[in-house]
Amino acid sequence: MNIKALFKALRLRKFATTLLILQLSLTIGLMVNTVILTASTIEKLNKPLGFDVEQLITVDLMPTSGAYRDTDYYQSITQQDIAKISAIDGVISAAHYNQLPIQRGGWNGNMQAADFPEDAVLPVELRYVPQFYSSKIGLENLGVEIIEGRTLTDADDITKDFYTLQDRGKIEQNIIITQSLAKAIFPNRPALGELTNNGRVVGIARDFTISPTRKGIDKTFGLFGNFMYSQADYQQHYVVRVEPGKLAQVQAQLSDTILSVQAERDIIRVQSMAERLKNFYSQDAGLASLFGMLSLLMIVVTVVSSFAHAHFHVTQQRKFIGIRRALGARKKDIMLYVFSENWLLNLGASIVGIATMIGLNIALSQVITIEKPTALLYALAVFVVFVSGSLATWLPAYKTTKISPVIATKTL
Amino acid sequence: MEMFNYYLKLSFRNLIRNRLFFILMISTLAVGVGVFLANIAIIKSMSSDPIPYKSDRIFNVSLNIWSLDNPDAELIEVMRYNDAMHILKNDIATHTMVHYQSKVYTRDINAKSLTRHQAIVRATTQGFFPLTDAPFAFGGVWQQDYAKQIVIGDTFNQQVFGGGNSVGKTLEIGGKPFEIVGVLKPWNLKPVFYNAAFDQAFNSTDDIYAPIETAMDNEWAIDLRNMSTDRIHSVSDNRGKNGFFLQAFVQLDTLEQKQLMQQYLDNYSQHRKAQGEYLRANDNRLLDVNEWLTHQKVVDERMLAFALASSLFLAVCIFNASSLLLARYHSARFETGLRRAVGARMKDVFYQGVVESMLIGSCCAVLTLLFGWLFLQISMTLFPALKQTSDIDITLILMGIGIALVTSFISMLYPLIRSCRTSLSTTLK
Repeated sequence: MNIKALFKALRLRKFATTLLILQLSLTIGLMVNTVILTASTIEKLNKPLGFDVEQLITVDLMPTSGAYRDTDYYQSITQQDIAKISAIDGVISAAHYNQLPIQRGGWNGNMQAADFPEDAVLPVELRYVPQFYSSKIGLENLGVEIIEGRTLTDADDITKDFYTLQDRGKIEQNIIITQSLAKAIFPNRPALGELTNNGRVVGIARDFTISPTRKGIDKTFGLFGNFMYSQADYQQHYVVRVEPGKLAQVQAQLSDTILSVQAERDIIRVQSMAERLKNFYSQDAGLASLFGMLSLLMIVVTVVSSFAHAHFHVTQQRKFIGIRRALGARKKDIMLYVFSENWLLNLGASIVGIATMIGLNIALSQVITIEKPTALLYALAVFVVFVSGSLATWLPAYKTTKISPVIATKTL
Repeated sequence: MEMFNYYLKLSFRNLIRNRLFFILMISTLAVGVGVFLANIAIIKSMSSDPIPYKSDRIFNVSLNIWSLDNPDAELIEVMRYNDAMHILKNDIATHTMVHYQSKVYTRDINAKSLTRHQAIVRATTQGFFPLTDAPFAFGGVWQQDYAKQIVIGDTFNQQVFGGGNSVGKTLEIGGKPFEIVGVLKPWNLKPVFYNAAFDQAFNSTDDIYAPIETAMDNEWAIDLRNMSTDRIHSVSDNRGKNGFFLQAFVQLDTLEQKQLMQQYLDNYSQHRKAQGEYLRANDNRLLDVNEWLTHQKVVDERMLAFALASSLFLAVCIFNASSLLLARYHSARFETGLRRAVGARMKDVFYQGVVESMLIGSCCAVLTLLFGWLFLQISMTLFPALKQTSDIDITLILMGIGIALVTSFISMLYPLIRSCRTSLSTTLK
């Protein structure tokens, strides 16, 4: 195989060759970055969250009637709801929550030790700690283990005090906090039994993902109290824990069960925790799909181009190929010649592709969060482009072998 | 003109003779332009000016107040009840409004059905209407701050009362009656600039507009930010407390007004500082509508990322078309040579090529609009949030046609030049 001759042939078609190399390299760049985006979305969706996502159903609801402004009435309805849901076949337990894990925003507040110096600056991650209020089984219902201290009990319920006492500042509640939060508030001493600005720590729960979008250690920060928040104008949430395999069956009954207790409620959403997680990342998944679609289209266009390039070349060089055949070149030599040209172009494109891949990654990182490309992904993209290019070249290459040596004599 | 018709006929004949080739070339180019156009449709809609005739005169007010925070942290967009009331008192701005968003469930008090409709509430002040130029179809704004009177939007009016003049009718909210004093015309504001701070810039305009004091007295929910030790027991308890939940906008028609307003805000900050509050390094901020929307990053960053990718894809499609055309002209060089030999000048060959590129461009434009629409539907399926932000209007269609024509011409330019330059003697040999 005469590489020099190949280069010479390609040089004769500088414009078309350059365009094809650019196309192939851009395809490599886009493919690598698409795979990075897709992989990062899949990783987010499959990362263990530390609680029983697969067994939980969530309900978001809101009262529509003014009667719910009476907190006693509101609480009695909530209790009836929970009792009726718990009685459904397949339900292990159910509880009410002021907010749910896996969310943006929500009910957050600062957390600090009661003796935190007034003039000291509170670390930023302790300023927006998610505060969860549920029944005594709130954590157990989610499948979160208490690793130190005790669970919450009926005696810890502050609901009555909250809605009857004039000065709520006097309520000292007992709380459970996650282990990472305990370490952050009390870095130098055990947190159990200590007083914070939001109550006394009676238990420490194993860390689980509460705020997935947060980047630091505060991803797993959370405080849990025993309190039935009953404010008519705000959304309420139920989490239902079901036996394995009964999720769909229970999910289908929940709306009717709740409305049968009292109909003046808007059931905003009933979804499994897994669906909730999927919806949470739907924008990321959407972007990855758009990029995937574009990559696929780019490969199609590249295949068309590779085909056209090889085809054009064969038509242009019919005479020379005929001469070669006449001089003794075998069919497979001719085939190899056409393929080699495509491989040479791919080699060029894979070198330029490093630049487009890194360039596009840097440009994308200016607007979205994207990880860096790896050698493996690059090799994979080069392989795909190489295979699709070779396939597209196959037909023109095969046709070339049909060129008869007689052509040489005809055209001379 | 005669020559033009002749060239057009010739181009038609060329296209039909090599139809497979041209279908391939035109459709790949149209896919590239279509994806690009769908992306432009989204970004254009997201970055549009919602109130172009006065967007440079309406300003968001962000105050330098937020105790217990880093001194160099960003200003927050919400303020306390007392701060908002102070801003309302100014006699500098042409119009001033403060607002917060809430949600209620409501029904026509006379309806037989007990079904309640969910309604988004804009709890605001009278200045909201002249400032945003909200168009009234019937009635007008409430006259008293504590009145149990409301204005409703057109969609909500259609939904609850079936449209028409609903002034004088009564809605039941939380068991209490509220009189309708005004009904708006259909009002399409994109982005909803006054609501841009909470990722809701592309929601529809609101269902109910109510006096802020009435909304608070009736405990209509708020999104509260609170970093103080104050205990706030209810929505109405926010008066005089450190709960941050209100936003303010002012209309300042002259530069002098703007300077005076800045001074007014600075004086207020100094006054709060004198009362023992912490101030940060940032000044009080007045941002006009477009600056405010840029600051709020209303254009989805994911769409910008996709714009980058779709531009590259368009480039690939142009490269592809160009390289295909080069092959095509090469194979047609005998015909070109023949035309040159019988007297056609280089200029004529080029002119004929331009006519052909325009014809290709026109076919491409038709397909582009089709693919553009298709990709827009795909984008909306993948990003349901985009449904509000992807308008196909006449400007966009013209833009699509323009891009298709230009890209076709660009793709054709180099192959055409090469074709014209083919030396006559080579061909004749």
